[in-house]
Amino acid sequence: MTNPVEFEAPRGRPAEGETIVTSTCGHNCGGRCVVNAHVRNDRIERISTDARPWNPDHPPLTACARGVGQIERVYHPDRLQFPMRRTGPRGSGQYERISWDEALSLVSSELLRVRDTYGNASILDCSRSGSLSMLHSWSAAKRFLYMFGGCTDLWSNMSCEAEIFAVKMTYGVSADYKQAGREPTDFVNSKYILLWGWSPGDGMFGTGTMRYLQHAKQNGTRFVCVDPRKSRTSTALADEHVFIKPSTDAAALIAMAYVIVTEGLVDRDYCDRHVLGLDGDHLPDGVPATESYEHYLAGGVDGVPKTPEWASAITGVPAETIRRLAIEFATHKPAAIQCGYAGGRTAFGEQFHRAAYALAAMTGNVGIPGGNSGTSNGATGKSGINSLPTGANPINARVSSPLLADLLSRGRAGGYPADIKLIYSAVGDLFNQCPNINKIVSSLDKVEFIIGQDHFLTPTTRYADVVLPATTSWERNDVHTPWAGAGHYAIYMRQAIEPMYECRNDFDIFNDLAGRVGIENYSGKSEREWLQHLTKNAIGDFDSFTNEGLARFARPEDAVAFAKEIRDPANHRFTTPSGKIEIYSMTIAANPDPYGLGRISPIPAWVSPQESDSDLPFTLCSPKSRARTHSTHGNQPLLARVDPDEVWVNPQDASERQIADGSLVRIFNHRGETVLRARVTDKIAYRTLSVNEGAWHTPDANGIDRAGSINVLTSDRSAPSGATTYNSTFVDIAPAID
Amino acid sequence: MTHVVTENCDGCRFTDCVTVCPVMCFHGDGQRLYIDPDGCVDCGACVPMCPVRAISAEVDLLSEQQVWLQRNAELARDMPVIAEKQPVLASAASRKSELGF
Repeated sequence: MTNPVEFEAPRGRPAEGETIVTSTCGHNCGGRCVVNAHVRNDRIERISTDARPWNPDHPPLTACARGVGQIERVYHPDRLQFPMRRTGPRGSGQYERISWDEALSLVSSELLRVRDTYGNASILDCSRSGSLSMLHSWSAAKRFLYMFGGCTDLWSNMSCEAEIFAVKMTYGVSADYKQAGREPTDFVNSKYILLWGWSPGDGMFGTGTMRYLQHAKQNGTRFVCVDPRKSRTSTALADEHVFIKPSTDAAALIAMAYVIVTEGLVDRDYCDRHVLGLDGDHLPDGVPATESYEHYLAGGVDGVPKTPEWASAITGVPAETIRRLAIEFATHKPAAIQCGYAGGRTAFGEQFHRAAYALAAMTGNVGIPGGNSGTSNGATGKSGINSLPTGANPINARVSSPLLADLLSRGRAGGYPADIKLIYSAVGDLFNQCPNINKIVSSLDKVEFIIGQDHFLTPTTRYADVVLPATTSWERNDVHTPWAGAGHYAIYMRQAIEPMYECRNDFDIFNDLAGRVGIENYSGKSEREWLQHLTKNAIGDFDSFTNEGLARFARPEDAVAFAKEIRDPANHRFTTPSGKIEIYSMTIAANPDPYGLGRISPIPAWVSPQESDSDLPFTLCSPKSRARTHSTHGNQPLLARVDPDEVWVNPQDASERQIADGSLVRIFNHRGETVLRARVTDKIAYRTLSVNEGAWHTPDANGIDRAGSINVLTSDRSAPSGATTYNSTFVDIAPAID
Repeated sequence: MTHVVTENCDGCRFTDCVTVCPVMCFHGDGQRLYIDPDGCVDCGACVPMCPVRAISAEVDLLSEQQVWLQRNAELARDMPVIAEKQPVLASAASRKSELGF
C-alpha cells in the first residue's frame, strides 16, 4: 500500500551556470536535513538548506554546520584517492598505491583463506553507521558478509541499546523505541516537560526538534532540565536546571517514585487499568506482593527506603529538590519526561530508562496528549522505505558491541564465538568509537588481516592492511529517511559530482568482491533499480521523487505513542505478557540474564555502577559534539571551531586542582590518558568532567592521546542489556605541561 | 534561536561568514553585518569563518552582549542581503589587531 505523498523541491533558484542538487548528510547524526549542493563545473561551491519559514505543521528541514561542512569534508586534502597496501607497521600510515584489481584480489583471497582456515566466526564485521542511507551503507557490508557464510556481529546498538531493551520490557515486544515517544507537535500540549539528560540543542534528536520545544516554551510549558551539564537546551529553555552526577539518574527517578507514592500522588485509576507491578495488588498470579515496585521503594527488599535523602547521597541532587520535582511532575498533568540515551549508556543503563517509564506510568502520563512514555523519539508510523536487505547471519556469532576490545583480546578463551582473524571495517570507525582504545589497538596483532573501506585514514582505517577508497554520498545516488524515525519524509540523495579520484561506491565494491569470492546474486539490479525497489512501498512516482528531492508522508493518527492502548485497552493491548505497561517485567522475571551479561531485576531497582576504578574522584560524561557526528567530520579543522574539544571543569574542582581556564590538563585512569585544554565553567557539576565523544585518537610517542579521544578512558564493559557504559567512567584530572 | 553579529564586526566587515550561510540571512551596511533572526536557522556554520569572532549563538551571548539580539533583529530588516564576499574595510587590519586577533 502506498501512502499519500507530497513532493517538494526545497531549494532556491540556481545562479547562471550553477546546478542546485538536493541531498542530505548520510551519517548517524540526530537529524536528516535538506543539504543542497550548489555545483558549478563538477565542483560543489556552496551549500544551502531549506530556507522556508517555520510552520509547525510543515516544518522546514534546516541543516546545521555539519551540513555546510560537507564541502570541507568532500574536498579535504586527506581524502583517500586510490587503493593502498600497507608497507610499514600497523598504525604507521605507511602505504603503497595499488590497483583496484590488486586490492580486491588480495581482499578476496584473504577472505577465502580465513574462512576456510578458521571458519566464518573468525571474520568480524566492524562496519557501522558512518553511512546510514538505504543502499551505500552498513547494510551493503552485512549483506556481503552474510552471503559469504556469516561473520561475528557486534550486535548491540552503541547509542541506545538500554532504551531499546527497556521499551520492549515495559511497553511490549512489538514496541519499537523509534516509535515509542511522541511527535514534536505534541510538545506544546505539555504543562511540564522534564528534560532528563536530553539535549536536542546539542544532539538534534530529529531535525527541528528545538524549534518545537521553543514553541512550547512560548506557549507556557514549564521546563526543568536534569543533567550533569547545563546543555544548550537547558540554557535556551529550562526554567530550572538540576545538576546530577552521571550514571546515577536511576536513583533520582526511583526516589521521585517514592515521593509520588508516599505523597498519595499516584494516578490509581490509570494504574489499575494499565499498569502491572506498581503495587502488590497488580502483579502476575503467583508473584508475591513483596515483588512490587512499591514494596521495593518502601525499603521492603533491602531495608533501605528509597527516600530523597537516600538518592541525594548517590546523585548529588539535594533531597528537597528531588522531593519538589516529584511533586511538580505528579501535579502538572499532562507532564512529560523526555529522556536522552546518555543515562542508559551506563553500567546498568536499562534501569535508568525503566525507572523513567515507571514515573510516566504511575502518574498516568503514558499515551495521553501532552504526556510521554519517557522516551524521546517520535511516534511515527513506518514510511515503508527499506534499506538494502541483508538477510540473516547464517551463523550464531554475536558479541555485545562494547566488548570489542575484550573479544579481540581474549577471543574463544574469553567465551566469545571465535578468535578474530579478519576484520572488515566499512563505513565505520569502531577502533575509535568502541570503549578502551588502548586494549583494542594492543590486541590487533592476533588479527591476520584488516580491511578498511572509508574516505580517510581514520583511527580505524590506519590499522588496515588494505585500504579501499569509497565515494562520499555526493558522488552517488541514494535515499535517506529521518534519523530514528523522527519525521515523516524521505530525501533523495541525488548525485552532485562525479566520483573523485579512483573512489568507488560502497555497494559496487561489495558487488565486485561478491563475484570474486563466488557469491551469486549480490546485486542483480542497477543503483536506480535498487533505489526504486527499496522505496516502492512508500513512493509510487519515483521520477517525481528524484526530480523534486523531498517526499513527505502522512503523519500518524495519534501524536503520542500508545494512545490506542490507553484509550481502548480492550482492543489494543500492550504487547507485554500481561498486556499492560510492565513496571514489573514478566519477561525479565522469566529470564533475568537474557544475554549472559548480568542479571536484571524485574523492577527498575537501583544498582550501583561499581567499577574497579570507581574510587577515582571524577565521573566523565561524553556528550555529542555539534562539530562531529560521532567520529565523522573529526578531521575538519574549520568545522571543529563550531564546538571546540575541551574538557569542562567545575570552578571548584579547577580551584582545588589548580587548573586554569584554557590550560592543558591530563585526564587519566588505569586504561589510558588523554591531554586537552580545560574550560572552567559553572555549566558542569562538581566532580564531573565532560568531553565530547568522537575526537580522533591521536597517540603521541608515549601512547598518550593528545586529542581528547575519550575511549582511551572508557571501559570495555557491557550493561546486562547489551548497552555501552561510556557514562560510567571514573577518572582523575591534573594539570599537564603546556 | 538565532546567531547574532556582535560588536567585533564593526570596522572590520570581513564578510567571510556570508559565503557559508546556507540561508543567506546576513544583511549589512558599509560598516558591519547583521543576521536576520527570522531567516537564521541557527546552524553555526558562520562562527568559525569570522577572523575576529564576532558571531555568537544566542545561547552563548554574555550578558553585556544581549543587546545585540534586538539590534540584529531591528537593523537587519532595513539593510540589503549580503550573500557574496566583499572587500574588507580599510580599517579591518588595525581593528583586528586592536581586538587581539
